[in-house]
Amino acid sequence: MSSFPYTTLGDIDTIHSTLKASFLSGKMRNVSYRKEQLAKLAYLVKDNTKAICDALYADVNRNPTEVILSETSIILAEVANVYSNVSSWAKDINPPTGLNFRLMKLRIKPTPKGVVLIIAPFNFPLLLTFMPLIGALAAGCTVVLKISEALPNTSPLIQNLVEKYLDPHVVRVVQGGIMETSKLLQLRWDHILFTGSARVGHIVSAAAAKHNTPITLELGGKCPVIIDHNYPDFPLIARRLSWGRNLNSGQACTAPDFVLISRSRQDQLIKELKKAYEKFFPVENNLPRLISTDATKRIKGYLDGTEGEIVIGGKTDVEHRFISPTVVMDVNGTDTTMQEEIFGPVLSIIPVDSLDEAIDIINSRPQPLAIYVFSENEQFKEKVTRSTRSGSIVYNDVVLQAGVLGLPLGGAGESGHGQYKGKYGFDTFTHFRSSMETPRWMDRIVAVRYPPFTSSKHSAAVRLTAVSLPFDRQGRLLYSRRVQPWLGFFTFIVIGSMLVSIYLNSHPNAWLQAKERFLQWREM
Amino acid sequence: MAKTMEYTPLDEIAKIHDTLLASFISGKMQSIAVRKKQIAKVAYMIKENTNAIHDALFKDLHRSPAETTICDLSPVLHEAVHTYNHIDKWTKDIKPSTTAAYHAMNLRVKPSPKGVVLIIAPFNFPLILSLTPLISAIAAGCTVVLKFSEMLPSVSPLLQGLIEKYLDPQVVRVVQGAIPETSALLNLEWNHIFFTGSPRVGQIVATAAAKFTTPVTLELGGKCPIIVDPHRADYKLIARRILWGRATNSGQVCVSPDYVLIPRAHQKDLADALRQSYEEFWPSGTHESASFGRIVNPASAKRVSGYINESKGNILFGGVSEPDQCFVPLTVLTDVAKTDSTMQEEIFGPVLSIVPVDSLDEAIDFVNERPQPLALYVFTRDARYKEKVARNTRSGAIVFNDTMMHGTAPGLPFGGSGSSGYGQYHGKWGFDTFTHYRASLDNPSWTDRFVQFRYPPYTEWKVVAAKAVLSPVVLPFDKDGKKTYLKRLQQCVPVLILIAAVLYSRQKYQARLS
Repeated sequence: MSSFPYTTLGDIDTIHSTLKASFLSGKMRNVSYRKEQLAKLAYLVKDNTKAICDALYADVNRNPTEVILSETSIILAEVANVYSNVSSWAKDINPPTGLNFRLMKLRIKPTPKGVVLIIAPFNFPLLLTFMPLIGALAAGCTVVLKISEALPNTSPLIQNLVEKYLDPHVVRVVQGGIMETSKLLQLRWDHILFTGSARVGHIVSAAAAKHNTPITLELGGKCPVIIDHNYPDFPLIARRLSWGRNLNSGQACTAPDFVLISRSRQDQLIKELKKAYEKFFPVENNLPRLISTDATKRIKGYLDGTEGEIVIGGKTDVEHRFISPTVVMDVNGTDTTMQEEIFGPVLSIIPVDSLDEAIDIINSRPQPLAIYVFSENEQFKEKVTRSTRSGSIVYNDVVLQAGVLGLPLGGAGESGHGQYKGKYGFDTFTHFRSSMETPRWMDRIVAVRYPPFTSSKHSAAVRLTAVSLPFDRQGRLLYSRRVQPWLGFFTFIVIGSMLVSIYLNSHPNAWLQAKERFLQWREM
Repeated sequence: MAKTMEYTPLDEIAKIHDTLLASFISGKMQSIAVRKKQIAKVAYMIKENTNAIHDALFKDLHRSPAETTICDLSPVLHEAVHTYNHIDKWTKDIKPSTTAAYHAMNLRVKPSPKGVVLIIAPFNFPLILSLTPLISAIAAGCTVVLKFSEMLPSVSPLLQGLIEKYLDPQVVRVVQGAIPETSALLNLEWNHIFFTGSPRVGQIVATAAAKFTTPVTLELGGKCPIIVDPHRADYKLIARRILWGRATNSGQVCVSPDYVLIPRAHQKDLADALRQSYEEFWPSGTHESASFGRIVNPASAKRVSGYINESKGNILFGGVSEPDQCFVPLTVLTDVAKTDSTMQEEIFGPVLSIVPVDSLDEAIDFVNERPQPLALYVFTRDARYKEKVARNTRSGAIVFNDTMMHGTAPGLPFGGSGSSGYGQYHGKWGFDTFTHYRASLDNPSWTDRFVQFRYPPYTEWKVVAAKAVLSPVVLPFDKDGKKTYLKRLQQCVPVLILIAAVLYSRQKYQARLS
């Protein structure tokens, strides 16, 4: 029931072999060619922002401001940054090394991995396709983009634009559903970057394992919010939460999913949330739609089954794929809303008795993609940071770390592994190839390695590779080593003062002369 | 060899995992001092038991102490010292560079330990391939289970005993065993799996890890080629370095050179030099020499000698094996065809094939048609030749005019690409493998005044504001990817300021003179 043409299975094979051949031709080893493609990608987005916004409005009723805020502007900033840095990232690295190896021309050559596959989801169709693409292009890979089949206007538009702007020997788009994706996964890639659900993530990893292909998995998870009960500015929390939870109708992998707050402050938070929701969503129907009726039904099921109290929203319209922004309070850890990632505009609030209880709740669940902490107390922040694990940890805000220039995006544990954006994206698609060279004359020194191994050779080997340990058995730095950094300084002082005194002895008037010269200079 | 070691009981394996998970969650490894102490103990463990380790390795692999010192012991000590000296720096929060719009948000990237990790080590270099990743994992702050090879009846129990004696059992544990024990390990959820071994087992490990979406590092092998440029070649030197590489640990090294690609006309030059070096290194043959190792077990020896027996190449020297005694002599085959029995799989034994080719392009094509090797060796004195091979091939590492040395060079990452694996370690690269770089920011409340546009309901002016603040107003390049003139001008600004300053001070100086 596809509403736009899918790529045929035969074409998928052809696309893969074309891109492999063009990779091996060495065209992308050229950094200025990579920059050209990056620039074209930027103009692809810049010249067609309006068309993109229109397509997304037609598909999921998304507001253009939201698209610009959360997708196009972030892509443009990223391209500009990567464009300016890729030349230095792609340079050979000259690593610091030990004395024995200093003359062996050690180099680390950043080398593109090869032909890579990027599988993007529907929720942020540009951001989650193009941000990894920027990394792959910068690294010098050739790329197949598999974009979502759930967006009948946006996906064909992206395909047309990619075909129009980018080199077809470097980037290709594959459209399709499960069959096309399975076909893609049968092929051998040099890297796969997958963004999507944990269930499909398992399938992708298992397929990659057959070819020993490295993968990056960007999955989701239920992102918790912890609120310090001493936090002074509850209206701010309410603003930021209601923005983050309802951005793209909650269909964001970093969206805050449930709130852990001390029992006594729950009512206050609800009061502020109500105010914010009224201000932000005066006309409910303007909100983006959910991606499918199935997704809507699933979320409706959570709301029907919950034992918590629905205090805001709660309206559902399966036919029109709509759920109104909803807040559920007095939720317990086993509630229907606490089973899976909601991926819709429903926020659950779990009252807890202490910070330790909140941390235990988080640690008893899979590692989330992000943890949000509202607190102005450094010790509180530090405690949450140290005793939990997550992809990222954000204080006093939600969601926006995914778009911030310079921070890596990626999960930990069940929320995925591997990262991208900026240098992290370049690294994901790069193999750091070690290289060295032993000069001919060095055979005299390295002769100890050649058989026959006599006992004199053994003792030479021991001498040549001897290591003196700078620490004692308890891991404390030895006193002699602690003094070492100062040693140079002391030698400098001693020798320096010796030289000065010798000089002053032979030139008794030097001191006076210098003083006079200084006075003259000051008067000038 | 009759002595068998005790395997870890299957029901204990899950308990070991749970203990290490609990001790990780307790946060004890957050302390850098605790990590340093464990690293120091690994170093002293080696240093104080060198003789026992030498004896055990000689018993299991007939390996000489000189080789063990160079390839197994000293690299681990270097790794411990290097890691110890840099750990404070590596564990500090990173402040990423960003644009003005995000400066107020206190961006940080926090190096955080991944959690409980599993390191599976092979038999061939039991110390460097288990303790080097161990040191990195401890430095990153993980708790670790080490699985040693079941094929080393003396070394593996010795290492287990030492680790139990020296290291904190809440941080590092050893599991001994074969397939059932490894399967039991792979049924558990780890936060990272670091595997060194064959591609076949690598696939099993990666598939098991896929169930939990666990990140994996695979250090596999592959047939490492040597390409020889005959122009001004010093065959004596080439022969010495190749033979050393192939004979080390009886060829049971994942980066051991496996076959040579050389122009047909020069095959004889290399063969003569190889024979000469062979007689120099092992004057009475490899069988009698104390400087030549054994294959790990009769089955592997049989496999390797099978390659030799079925080969259609000419035997230059070596050839007669005694599989029951785990002995395969150092063997060089010449005129080996590309489809020969020795050219199918990684040999992992002391057999070197010389494959004559007609040109460099043919050699490069030959390398590219096969799975990516862990290392590629190029003997040449011509910089352009080096560049050509480096640009047109892919491999874990590329080494010029030597073999295997990159494995122990401090500062270089070690790891494969394509079929030879993925992920890297040694030094900072190892630390990174076991670290999750956790993004973090702290957005103060006052920024809301400037970014009101992010909140709904969305109106026209919010579009304009969002564009202005978040994306570059002018892209620094034109549509063909060339830098724009404005950007070039911008880059000149510091120089212009400098020139202006010089002119200004000169003027001042002249004014003072007059």
